[in-house]
Amino acid sequence: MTNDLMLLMPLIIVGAGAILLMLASAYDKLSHEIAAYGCAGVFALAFLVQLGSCITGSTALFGEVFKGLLVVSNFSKAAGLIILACGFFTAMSSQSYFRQNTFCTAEYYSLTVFAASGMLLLTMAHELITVFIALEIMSLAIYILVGYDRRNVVSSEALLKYLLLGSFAGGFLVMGSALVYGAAGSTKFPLIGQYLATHGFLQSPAIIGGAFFIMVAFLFKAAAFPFHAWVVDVYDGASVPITGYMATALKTAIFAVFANFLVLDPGLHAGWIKYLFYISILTMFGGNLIAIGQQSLKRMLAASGIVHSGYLLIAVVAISTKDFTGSVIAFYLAAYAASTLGIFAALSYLGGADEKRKTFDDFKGLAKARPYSAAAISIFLLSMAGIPPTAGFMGKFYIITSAIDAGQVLLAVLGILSSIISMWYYLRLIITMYFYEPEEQFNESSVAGFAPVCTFVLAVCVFAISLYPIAI
Amino acid sequence: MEQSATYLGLIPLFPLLGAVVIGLLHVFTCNRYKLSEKFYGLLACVGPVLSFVLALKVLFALKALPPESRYLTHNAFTWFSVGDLHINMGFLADPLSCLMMLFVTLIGTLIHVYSIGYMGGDKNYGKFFAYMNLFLGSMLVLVLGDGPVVMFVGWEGVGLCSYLLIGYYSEDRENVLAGNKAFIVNRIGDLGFVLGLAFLFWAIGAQGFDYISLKANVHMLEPAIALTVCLLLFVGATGKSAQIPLYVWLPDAMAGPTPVSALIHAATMVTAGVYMVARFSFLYAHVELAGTIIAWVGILTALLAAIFGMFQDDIKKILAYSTVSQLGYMFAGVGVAAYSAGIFHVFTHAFFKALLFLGAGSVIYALHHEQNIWKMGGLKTKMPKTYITMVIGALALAGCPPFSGFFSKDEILYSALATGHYGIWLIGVFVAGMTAYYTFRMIFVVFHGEPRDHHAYEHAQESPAVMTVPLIILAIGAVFAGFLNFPGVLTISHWLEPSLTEHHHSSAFLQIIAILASIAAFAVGLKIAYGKFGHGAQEPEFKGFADFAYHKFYVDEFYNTVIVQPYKAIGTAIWKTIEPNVTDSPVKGAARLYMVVGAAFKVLQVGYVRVYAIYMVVGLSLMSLFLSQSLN
Amino acid sequence: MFEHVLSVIIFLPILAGLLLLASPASRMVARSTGLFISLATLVLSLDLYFGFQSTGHLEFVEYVPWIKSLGISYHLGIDGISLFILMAGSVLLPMVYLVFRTREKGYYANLLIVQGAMAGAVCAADMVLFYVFWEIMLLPVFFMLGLYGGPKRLPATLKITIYTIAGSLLMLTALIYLGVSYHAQFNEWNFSISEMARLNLTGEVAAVAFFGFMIAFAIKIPLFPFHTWLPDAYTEAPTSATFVLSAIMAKIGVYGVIRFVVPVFDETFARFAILLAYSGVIGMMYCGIAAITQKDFKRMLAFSSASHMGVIALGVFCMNMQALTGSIYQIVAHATSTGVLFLFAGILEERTNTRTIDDLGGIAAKAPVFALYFAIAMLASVGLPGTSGFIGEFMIILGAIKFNVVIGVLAGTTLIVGVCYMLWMFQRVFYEKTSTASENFKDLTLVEGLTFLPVILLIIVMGIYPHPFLSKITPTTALQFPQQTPVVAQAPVSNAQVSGLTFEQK
Repeated sequence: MTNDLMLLMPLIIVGAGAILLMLASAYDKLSHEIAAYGCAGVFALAFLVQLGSCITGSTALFGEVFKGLLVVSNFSKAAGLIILACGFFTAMSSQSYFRQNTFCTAEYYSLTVFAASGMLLLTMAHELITVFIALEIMSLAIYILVGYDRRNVVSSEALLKYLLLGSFAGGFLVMGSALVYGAAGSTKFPLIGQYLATHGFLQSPAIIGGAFFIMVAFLFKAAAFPFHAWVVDVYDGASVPITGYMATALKTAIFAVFANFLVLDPGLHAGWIKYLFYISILTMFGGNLIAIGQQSLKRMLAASGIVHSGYLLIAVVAISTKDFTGSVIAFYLAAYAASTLGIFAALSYLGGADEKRKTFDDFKGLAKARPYSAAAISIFLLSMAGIPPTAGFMGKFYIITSAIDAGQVLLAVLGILSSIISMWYYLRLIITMYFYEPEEQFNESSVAGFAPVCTFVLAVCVFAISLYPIAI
Repeated sequence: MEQSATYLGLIPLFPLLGAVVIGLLHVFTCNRYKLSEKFYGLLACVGPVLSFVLALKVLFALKALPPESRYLTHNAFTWFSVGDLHINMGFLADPLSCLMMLFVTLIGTLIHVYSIGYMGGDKNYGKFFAYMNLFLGSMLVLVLGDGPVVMFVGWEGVGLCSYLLIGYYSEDRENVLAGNKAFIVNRIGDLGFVLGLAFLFWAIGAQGFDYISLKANVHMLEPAIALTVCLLLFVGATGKSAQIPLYVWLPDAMAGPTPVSALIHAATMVTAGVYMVARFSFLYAHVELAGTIIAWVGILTALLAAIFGMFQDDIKKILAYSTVSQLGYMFAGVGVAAYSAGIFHVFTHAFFKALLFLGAGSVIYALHHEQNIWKMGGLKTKMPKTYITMVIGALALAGCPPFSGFFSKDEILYSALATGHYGIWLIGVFVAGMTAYYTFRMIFVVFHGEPRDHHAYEHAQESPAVMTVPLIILAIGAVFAGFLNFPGVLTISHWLEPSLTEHHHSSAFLQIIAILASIAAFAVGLKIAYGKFGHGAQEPEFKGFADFAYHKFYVDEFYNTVIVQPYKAIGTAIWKTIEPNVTDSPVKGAARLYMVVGAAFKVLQVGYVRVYAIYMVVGLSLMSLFLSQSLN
Repeated sequence: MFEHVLSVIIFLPILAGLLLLASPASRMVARSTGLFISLATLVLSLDLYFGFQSTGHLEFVEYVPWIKSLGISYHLGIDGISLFILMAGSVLLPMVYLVFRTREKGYYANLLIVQGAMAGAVCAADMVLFYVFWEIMLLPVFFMLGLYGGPKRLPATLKITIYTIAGSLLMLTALIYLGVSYHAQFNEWNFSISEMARLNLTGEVAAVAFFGFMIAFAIKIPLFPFHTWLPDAYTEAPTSATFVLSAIMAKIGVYGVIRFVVPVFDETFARFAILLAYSGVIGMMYCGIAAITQKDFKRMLAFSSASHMGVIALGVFCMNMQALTGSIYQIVAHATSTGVLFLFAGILEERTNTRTIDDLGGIAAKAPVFALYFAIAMLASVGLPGTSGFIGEFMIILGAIKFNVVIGVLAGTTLIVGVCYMLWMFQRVFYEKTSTASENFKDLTLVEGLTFLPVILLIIVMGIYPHPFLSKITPTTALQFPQQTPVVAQAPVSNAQVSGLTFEQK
């Protein structure tokens, strides 16, 4: 029991923190600056607890909580860590973001925390209903955050799109769960696993259909082809920190649960490999080709987010159901999160009032005016492009290795090809920042805040993660 | 048993050091202040003289040894050694190289002295002597090297010097072009040489790649390889020694200062090819066919060059072609396996040809760099020393007994006859006549008759002693060098025996025929020349064949249109057309495709929710279709 | 000689460079720091050189496990092949700081970083480590080219970067494939280069992996027809970047071939060697002929460099000891000759503000010392005996003849091709009448003269007395070719290979 509580502590902290923030924000004494610190504090605390349990409580490798509704594994812990870190940095960068954008209220932060709680729950969920609930907690919070800037048409539009399509996906999830329950007579992953083990995957159409719908839901949230179309517009509409938050934390949660679900049974995994194989290829290349043409930085990053989902899908294809650690996925997520968050943190203080700097050309000659920021951004971009010695390289390295090891040579090669394609639009930003003369001075001296610090810290992380690959 | 002699290494070293010292002095001083010419001159002569002294030392050391073991070696250091390939920086002095060494250093010294006068007042005085010393050093490396690779070092070294000295008056594009031509044509030869070495090495080089080991292992060589090697090496020789088809550079090489023409392009460097063939006599002696080919190439070159020589009007060009023609003789000699005869001709030729060139130089000097013989005339009273010495040289060249040229040329023709190469012999005799003709044509036009350019004639005067003394010494050589091979005990061919693989044939009857024939040829040639030019003549109008020959059969133009221009055209084509449109097209194509597709996909992001929903539905239905496929 | 000397040689410059970038140092400070650091590196590597035992195996080994679960380690070592490339870098790079004295901070900083990275790539004994340095190597060049390059620099920058990265990513898959199949065959994870020789790879997938490596290196060398990035990049890049590219980085491509391709893929390599050799020879002639019609001497040197690289690569593909040793020797020779020629070209450009050959002339009369140096470097690059260029070229031709007569003969033509464009250029730049551009051309200053002196001497010493250098190379090259007996053992079926087969069915 105490063990359960210990394992759940981060979730509890986050949940409580969210509610407290919500209550506190009723008082208009609470400026959003303070709320930001509070939010960051919550995340920091939860993070430390999680970390503690990772280090000390490693005895409870596979702790069942609430009779197996939730399962805490090293993988879920790692995912949790990533999510919490994302939350923390998002809060910090929002703090400086809202020094030049003025649609913030304290609730913003509590919603961020709520979303985080949903994500944490998602990483641990081992039962379909729980998955659904967690998914919805997360999604609802995110919906609001996306459309937070009410006066801004673009973001409201984004909200609408996301809401519609998202509910679409939610529907699929419910439907899938129902079918699975109908066949297996349980919604708990282990029991479904047993059922599959005894009856075999392909024998029961209900299971197939159910699993199919569930997978569709996950793929949608993970922005995989052909359910990727919303990503670009939504990311573009949302405010910079939130975009970062979605791109990293949300994706982490989804892939965690996705992997957990797929490794139920070798048959299940094997059955889907054929799909995931093609889907990952299409996702990578589709994402790339969308990214090429983009003029706006955010849209480009959104598209590149799709590509990275593609890489993650490679890892999902390559996971071995026997001894599943998820280390590869976790590591890649961490690496990806670090660099993506870094960029969004940088954008949130370089973006200017009302995100006036959107396109590549707005950042011409940044290196002359703000050399350190430019350097940091380049580091993140290189990491995304997978140039050593950054974390992105290591992540890609592990994915390719696992893929080839699992015999997916072709997939590995295609993955490499797609990262060759992606080179161009990453380099393009570096080139614009460095090799052109500045057209303006980028001097928002008022905006210091914590975002620059975050950027710096994350830049360090990008190297640290690669040079000390703890996750492996 | 093997005799080691450390001082062999010094022989090339002295001139090389001289070159370095003079060169550095010149480079670092020329733009600030000028060192005195005397100083440079003396400094320049130190190296050659010392080498000459050492060469004599070697001579006596060799004489002291019994004939069968007459060689000295010196291994300076291991040059490079990879796998089976072991190359030593080693030197070998045997009768052959000793002979070469002797006259190279002797004539080299004389020409250095001569140059002190001739180059007087030149602004790059130091540079000139640096090059000259460098040349002498390389030439000695070539001669003394104990293996083909070391020889190749000298081989290329002399090539470089000839390039530098031909282009010595580098203000003028023509001269530099002539230099380039020389270097590149030589390189073409060198390609053959290197390939030859490569084949030779893989065949029998593993046990050691110096002459002595090669000579020991030559029997293991299959005939096919042997022939290939012989011909490839000979290609190298045609480049260096200006034989068909690579002779074209030598006439242009006359752009250099006259002492250079005398030393490099008459006496020493151009004979390197002959030396090489003689050096490899152990190889060539076994390959009849190669020998025959060489002989024919040689004699044809002799003929061609003689034809050209008869119609030139530049005094140096005449001598240049006569050089080519004499080189042809030498190759005919070594080709018919009369190596000693060939070398002997090299030896005598060195004297009289250097003499002629220096004489010509003295004339040119006197007439303020006038080289056209049709602007000279009647100079014999003005510059008697030059006149007499040049006549001696001419007699030697034309092969008038008892001058040196007679003996050596006759030796070659006799060997051709004796080995049954009658065609070669006939042509040889004919060419001898032509030689006599064009030589005395030159002599008569320049020295006899009435002066054609009076102004020049007035100012003409005998050159200073520093120039005439070498002339006299060489003249003595040109007269008496022949007797060194006078049938008897102490003959050169006898001296050369240990280092050459050849057998002498003696048939008094053929001897007589050969001698008579060549004397007759000489007489006829001289007669015609005297008849036409003896009493002065005006510049003739060339037409018909003469005109064709005057333009050297348009060979240069031919080469230019067939090789040089196409080569440049290809170059232009490659980087103007092929590079951007063919080689690079895949890359460009990829980039273009990339952008197009990118733009296309951007369109798909229309931004309408319904469209995105449609994507989802379509994708969904496709997937379920796929699913149903995979089920049954 | 102390422990971890290699690490110091690698990371001293890199760290210094990064610090410079981070610090607001002035140009003066940046330059002197660069000079100091590179000289320090030089001292260290000389120390290394004389401590080198020439056992033929790796020396000065450093081994620290990095990622245990995949057997990846921080593993450094030097043998006869890598030693000389390392030395070339350490000896040549200090000159840049002495010759180009007024560049921006980033210029010198990037130089330092690239130096360290190249050293790392050469010393790395672990494939992943090698790859890491291999990629880092490119970044400084990218920035130097983009920031300090000529007017048409951007396309050139993009071309070289994308082109090279594309190649190296393919290499990444290839080397991961090797690692995995090692795991499959000996079932332990290991990425150390020397271990890979134990692998025996067969079938299509092996060939694919082979080309993964080969293309990466072919682009870096660059081997015909992957050379198209070279002329623009070499011409547009600031001189020192060109110098780095041609003198050392290209060589690391060759080094890669020797290290990875030859030992690992012996059968596959043998199968394709003739093809590669042809592309080497064709590249040599193609670029050599293209060089003769260039108007811009930097571009001409670029082509000439590519042409020489063709010969060097050829030496590797000939698969015999003479040729291989030849190309390693030629690597150094080429670095000292053509590399230095690029620096001279930079000086010419700086003092005459033109790169057009026809604008120049008569410089020999104006600047005898410069002309002398230039001539020596030029003669070395056309392979005149007595200079460093001859030894390598001779051995390569020798080996080529043994490997295949046709290739040998074609390779021989390098003697002619090279001399044509060089003399043609030399004549028009240094001889003939003085032109307006070169009217008041200043000769090398004392500092510059002394800077180049060691290299010029090296060129001559390496030509006249190469034995001590070769004796350090030959033990290693001897190991490379155990008398051409490819081991054909029965491989345990690895799942990687099985998958390869399954994919052919797909």
